[in-house]
Amino acid sequence: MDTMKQCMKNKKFVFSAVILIPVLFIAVFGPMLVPNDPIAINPSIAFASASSQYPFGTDEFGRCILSRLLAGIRPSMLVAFIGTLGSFTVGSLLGVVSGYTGGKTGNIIMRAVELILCFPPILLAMMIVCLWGAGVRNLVIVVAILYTPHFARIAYSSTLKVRKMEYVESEISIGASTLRVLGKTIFSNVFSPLIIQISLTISSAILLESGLSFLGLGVQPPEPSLGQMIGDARGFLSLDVMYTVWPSLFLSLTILATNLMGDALRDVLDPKLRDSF
Amino acid sequence: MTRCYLKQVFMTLLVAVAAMFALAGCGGDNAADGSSSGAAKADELIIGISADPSTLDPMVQSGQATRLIKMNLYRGLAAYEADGKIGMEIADSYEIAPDNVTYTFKIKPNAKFHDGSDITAEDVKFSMERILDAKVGATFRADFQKVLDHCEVVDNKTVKIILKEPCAPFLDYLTLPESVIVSKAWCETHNNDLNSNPMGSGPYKFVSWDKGHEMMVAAFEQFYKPGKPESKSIRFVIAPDDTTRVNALRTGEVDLIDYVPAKEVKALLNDQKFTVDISEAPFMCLQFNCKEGPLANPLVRRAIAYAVDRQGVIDAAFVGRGTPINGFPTRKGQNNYDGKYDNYFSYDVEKAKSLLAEAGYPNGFKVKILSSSTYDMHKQTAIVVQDSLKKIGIDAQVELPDWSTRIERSNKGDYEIMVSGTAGNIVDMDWCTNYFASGEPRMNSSAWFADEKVDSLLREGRVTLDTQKREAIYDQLRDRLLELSPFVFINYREQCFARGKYVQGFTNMDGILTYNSGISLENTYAGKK
Repeated sequence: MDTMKQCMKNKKFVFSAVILIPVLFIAVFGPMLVPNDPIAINPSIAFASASSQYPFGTDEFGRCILSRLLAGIRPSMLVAFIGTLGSFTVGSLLGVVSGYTGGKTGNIIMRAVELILCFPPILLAMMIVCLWGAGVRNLVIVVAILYTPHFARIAYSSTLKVRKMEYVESEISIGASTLRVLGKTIFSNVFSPLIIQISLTISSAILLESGLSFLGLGVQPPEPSLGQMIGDARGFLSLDVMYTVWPSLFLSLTILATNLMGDALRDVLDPKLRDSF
Repeated sequence: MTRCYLKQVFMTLLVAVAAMFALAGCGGDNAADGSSSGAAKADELIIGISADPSTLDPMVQSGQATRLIKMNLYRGLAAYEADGKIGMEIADSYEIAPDNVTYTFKIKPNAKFHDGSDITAEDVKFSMERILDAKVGATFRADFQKVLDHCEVVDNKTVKIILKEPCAPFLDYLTLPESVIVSKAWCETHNNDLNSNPMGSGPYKFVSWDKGHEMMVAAFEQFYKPGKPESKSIRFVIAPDDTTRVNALRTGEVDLIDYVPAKEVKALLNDQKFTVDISEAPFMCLQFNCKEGPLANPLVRRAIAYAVDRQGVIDAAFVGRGTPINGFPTRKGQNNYDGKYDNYFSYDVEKAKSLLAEAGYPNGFKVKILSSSTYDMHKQTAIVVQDSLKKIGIDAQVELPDWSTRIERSNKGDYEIMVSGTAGNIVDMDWCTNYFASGEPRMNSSAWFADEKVDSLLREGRVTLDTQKREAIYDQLRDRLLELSPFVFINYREQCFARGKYVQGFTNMDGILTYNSGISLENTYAGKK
């Protein structure tokens, strides 16, 4: 495809793909790849140095750090992907519906949805966690709620624009089903912005989940998560610096890659830019 | 686009750097003031404490960090002094009538409250009644209710406290930081709300409280101990995060800290600039909600006692510093205990599984463990216990709210299994009453635990005045408590304070009294740095 060729030419895309493909692979197959059980406690070997059995050493409970890193990427990815899927679905639906309804009603629905944007993300997340408890399931809900307005806005503006297009009116007047016409036109219009928004949302969601896990409000022990590991390791900086460095490195690279991916996709797919170079 | 992008990045960095400088500027006082270079003694002592008090009402126990503050604001009739012996505080002297239930206290003539009013017998009577007042929610209300009959005002400075029956450890109970004397007039004019309007008779008076940040107290000029307190003021800096608190000590931002985490103790011991005061006395344990379900069954609780990997907890949560408790937390030699139950339990997964099967849960069950994210040692203990329970088929989920929520829940009995770190409250074996007597849920007891034999042994131990008879009674109590295991005892841990070498006069008291160490703050001052 033409787009794929353009993507491969974009350096940012290649760089982030190189990082993201292994990350996604680990997220899916991580628990099968681990050299040791990520939650098996063995306090007598706490803070063991790197060895063939424990390539990155052990933490304060004697658990294999590498195994926990590999297993810890999955919750972040799960929350990010499923949460984004949720906000994409709900947001786009709301956006299209209010765009199609138009007028005052459409406006009111959109403003109501945008209320969510008034909350600082971490604060809203903490509120929800305090009310309903921590854990992956609730984090997915948090992400879905937080990023719904972003998708809704995109879908709303595209739908509004499309409804008024002459092309659409003429298609409808010669008998084509309104829904089908609108659907096709909206889809081709929103496709690019939505893809970009999806990758940006995924990257923000990873950061949000990590931040919450760092504070102890995300993935609960003993299941590992990168943010949680960083939080745990913080108290042991004087005993073992690498314990903090490894998860931080993994997390930074992942977030960098998803961010760059979003940028790259925007470069490739944004029609306004495509013709300016 | 690339140029635009770079410019964006550059602008963001610039703004970030500018913001950093702005924040650094308004980041709070540096420790520049506090000690003039030439003076022998600093005016202000700065203490980093691990928790913001959830309440300043002195009769409500809300943690050791809070007690450190409370013992400066309030005093009672008597207290365990820094040398470990009971001394008179507000009282000048006391005598017990031959009926063994009438205690007559004479109040010090120069004892005053911070507002300048004299401490009178009326205040003592009011305070005792306040402890019994259900609306106040005093932590030791149940204990006092069982023992206290009424108080009589003899004259302005003489008060009689009459008990329902003889109580060997009664004086011990009066030394609790929660048995302090408060002003009747003040409480009556301030809606009995001592949390918003603290006023006592301790060496320091309350100045201000910036919740979550710091609390200031200033020396009380008319304190009844001449020459005390040593420092003109104390600033309590609230630093719940372990690393932040220790770093605050290292950088000299604070002079003294409480709750030094085990992982920092070794490094501080080796550092010439600091002194670490260690007392191995508090113990970690599990409390159970005994109302219903599997945890109501003593067989299940004993199974857990066999399943918990005590050495694992010591290694993971205390970096190897501590001693496992396989029996009851009375040290050999303390209260004349000879150690006969020290090996009651052992680490035996098979035995645990068979006990569980005997209780009717061969496939285990699901349970929640309440701990806290505020204190790493509590969190890590919970994780090791979770793992230990997994090995015998019990699927435990760990709950980690902040410390204030955790205390609230413990006061209400809102937990299934709860990780606890405590030390008894008084040196006398009667500390067991608050912990093991039947009754309403309270912070230190396993909610809804009730056993007639335990209750009667507790009562007998309290009213018997003969020392040898009491020793025998308490041995029977230990046996019964291990058999029913309303608590599973895990390990002794160290309770450590750390201070700059220039800080003098502080004592981390031995054993159970480590939680009363706040009393030595009247002797503490920051010398030349």
